[in-house]
Parts: sequence; C-alpha cells; structure tokens
Amino acid sequence: MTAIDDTRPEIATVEAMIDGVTVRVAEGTTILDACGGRGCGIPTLCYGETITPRNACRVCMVEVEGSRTLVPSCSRPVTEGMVVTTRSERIDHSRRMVLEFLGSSVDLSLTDHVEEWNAEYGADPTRYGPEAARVDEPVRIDNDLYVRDYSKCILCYQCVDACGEQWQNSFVIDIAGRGFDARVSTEHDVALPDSGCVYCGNCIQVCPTGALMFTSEYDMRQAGTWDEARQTQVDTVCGYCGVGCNLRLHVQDDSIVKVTSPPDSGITSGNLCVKGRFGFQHAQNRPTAD
Amino acid sequence: MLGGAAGGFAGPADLDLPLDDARLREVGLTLGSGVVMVHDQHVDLVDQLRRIAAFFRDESCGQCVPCRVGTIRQEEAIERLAAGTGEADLSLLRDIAGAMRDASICGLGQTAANAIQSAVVRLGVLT
Repeated sequence: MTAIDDTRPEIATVEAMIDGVTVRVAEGTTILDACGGRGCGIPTLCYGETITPRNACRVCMVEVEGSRTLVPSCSRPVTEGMVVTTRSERIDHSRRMVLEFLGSSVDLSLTDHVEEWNAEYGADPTRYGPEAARVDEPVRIDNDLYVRDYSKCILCYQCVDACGEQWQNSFVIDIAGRGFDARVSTEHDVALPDSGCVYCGNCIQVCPTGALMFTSEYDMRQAGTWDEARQTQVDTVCGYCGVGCNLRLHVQDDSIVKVTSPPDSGITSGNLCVKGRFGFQHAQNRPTAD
Repeated sequence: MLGGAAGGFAGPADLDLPLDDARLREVGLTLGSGVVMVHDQHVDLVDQLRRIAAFFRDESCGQCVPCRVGTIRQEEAIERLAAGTGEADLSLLRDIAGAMRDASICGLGQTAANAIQSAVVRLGVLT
C-alpha cells in the first residue's frame, strides 16, 4: 500500500535586498510587486491592473546592482541575491524626464497621478518650449459607442493587448508608424465600423489616459456636465446571458453614464462584451409625458 | 569619430590612443562598429551633429518613451543650439542624454546621445 503524499509542492522563493531590506518572494514576482504593486510609491503608467505590461513607458525604472542601465520594475522578476534601489538621483532623473517627455508631447490632463508625480520629481514639461513637437491628432468620432483621441495616447500598448492576445483575440488595433509618428491604428487606419472591432470596449477599460473614451462620457465632458463627484458606482450582474459577468454601473443624476467591470472580478477580469458594456439604455427608458 | 553614429568623437588630444576595445572604454569611447571617420578642421561639426540627431529620430521605432520622445527633443535642442541659444539648452541636452542612456529599452536609444555628448564634452561643439 502506498501512503498518500499530501504535502503540497513547495513554492520556490528567492531572496533579494530592496532598499536595504531583505525580502523573500515567490519566484517570478516582479520587483514592483515585491515592493507592493500599484500605489507602492513607484510611479507606473503602462502597467495596468489586468494586462501584462510591455514596459514601454519607462517611468517605473529602478536600479539593480550590476546592471548597466536602469530596469523596469513592472516587468523584471526578482532573482536570488538581487540588490535593488527604488529611489536615487539617477532614478529620479529618468522618471522626471519620462514625465516631461510625455507631458510635453501628449495631453495628460485625464491621467491619474501625473500632477503629483510632476511635483515629486520636479518635472516641467513646459521647458521644451512652445515649438516642441506634439502628437496632434483630431478626435476620431466614427461610431456611436466610443471616441479615440490619440493626442492623449502614451502608447502604453494596453489597448492593443486587450484587443489582441491578452484578452479579446480580435486583433483589430496595433501600432502603425515609427518613432514619434507611431500611433495606435486599425488596419489601414480604417474607421472602426469598417474594421473588425466587436465593440467589447475592453480597450477603453484599460486605457490609462482617456485617449479611448465612451461617447456618453465624451459628450458630457464636451457639454461640461461630466461630474465624477456626483457619480455613484453600483456593482451588479449582467442579465443578458448565463455567464454572470460583473458590471459596475457609473450613475450620475439617476442615469447610467458608463459601464465598466471590476478589474478584480474573477469572472470578467474587467472585460465585457458589447451587450454588457453598451446595452444599458433599456434600463433607463423613461415613459414620455403623453 | 569612432564606432559610427552610436559611437563617439575623439579629439586632437586622443590621436595616439590605441584602437583597442579595453583602452577606448577606459577613456569613455567605443570601438562600436569599427568605423573610423576622420574629420579635418573644415568639416562643419554642428551640421554633423544635426545629421546624427536626425538619424536617431528617424531610426527610433517608437516603442519606449525615452527614445521615442528623447530623440526628437534632442534634435530640437540641437537645432536651437545651432541657432545660437546657450547654457539652458546644453543642460537640457545632457538631461535628455541621461534618460535615453539609462531608461531606453534597446541599444539604439541607449546610445542615441553618445556621439553628440562626446562632441560637446570633448570638442566643445555647440558650446
């Protein structure tokens, strides 16, 4: 008779030194997660809650002993014996410059935390002068459900990965062009209705800068009526099919103004389909006076 | 100029320097692609720097911020310096170089300021 082996496989761990403190984490843990993840004090832009980052923004850089360059903490796994510094003159300089580079070339007015980081790192995006090249793109309004304003886009790749292999597998958008002219684009830059877009809105969900925005929100912002302070959020379950996706209704003045999904939802991981994301008007059709 | 556009300028004081990888590294230069480009006193070095800056702006793939924006900000600063602006743009150029070297994803961005910084520091171009 064989005894039942009920010991669990041991999780491999690594030990490293971060800012002088010895830490032991599971193998594969990134430096950022070892430091506490989002909100731990290391700024992040292209690192989203539900997307494996491409480490393209380079704002979360830290120093690793023995490395010639700084390394992106959002992506670099902790290795045995690694010695990490998360704050130094060299690091601060890189973060400041990335904030200035982005602030001087795109509109970050709807990007969370930018103002506080600019102050913390002494970033002054205006020092490149009024002639500094900017990403100057007209707002693309080519469908009823969402708008694309690439003058706000930092090319974080999250929409591309949400549309592509990380979530939706629709592969409707990708980066087109090179260098400063690189843009997120549909195939041949066709309008969304002519593309393969299925309007799941998962790209909007992960966009950190407001470059992708629900038309409902865009119209209200244009009209000056968008007011997040007056909004409440109601979590509910989508009633369209049997999957039971979690919806987060954003409600202002008794009207649903947009629908997201909780990023930590075990069912959706923040993703929805077109029905859950956009099919809410029936819930608020009100009888007319006559 | 040693090592091509991603390399660096050696000055008149470096004429006896052996073309040896370790030795060059000691003095902050690189053998790079192995190219040795000789400039006499009639060459317009400011124009050379403009061309190098334009080359890197053009070659940047655009994936990471330090290179995508850094190369165009570097080119803009050089254009201003060529037109006769002063210390503020030189220090801006240094700031841009540091971030591109430290934070770019690949070797292109990491070396996009090499030649320009070496010309400023070793030859006093743009100063």
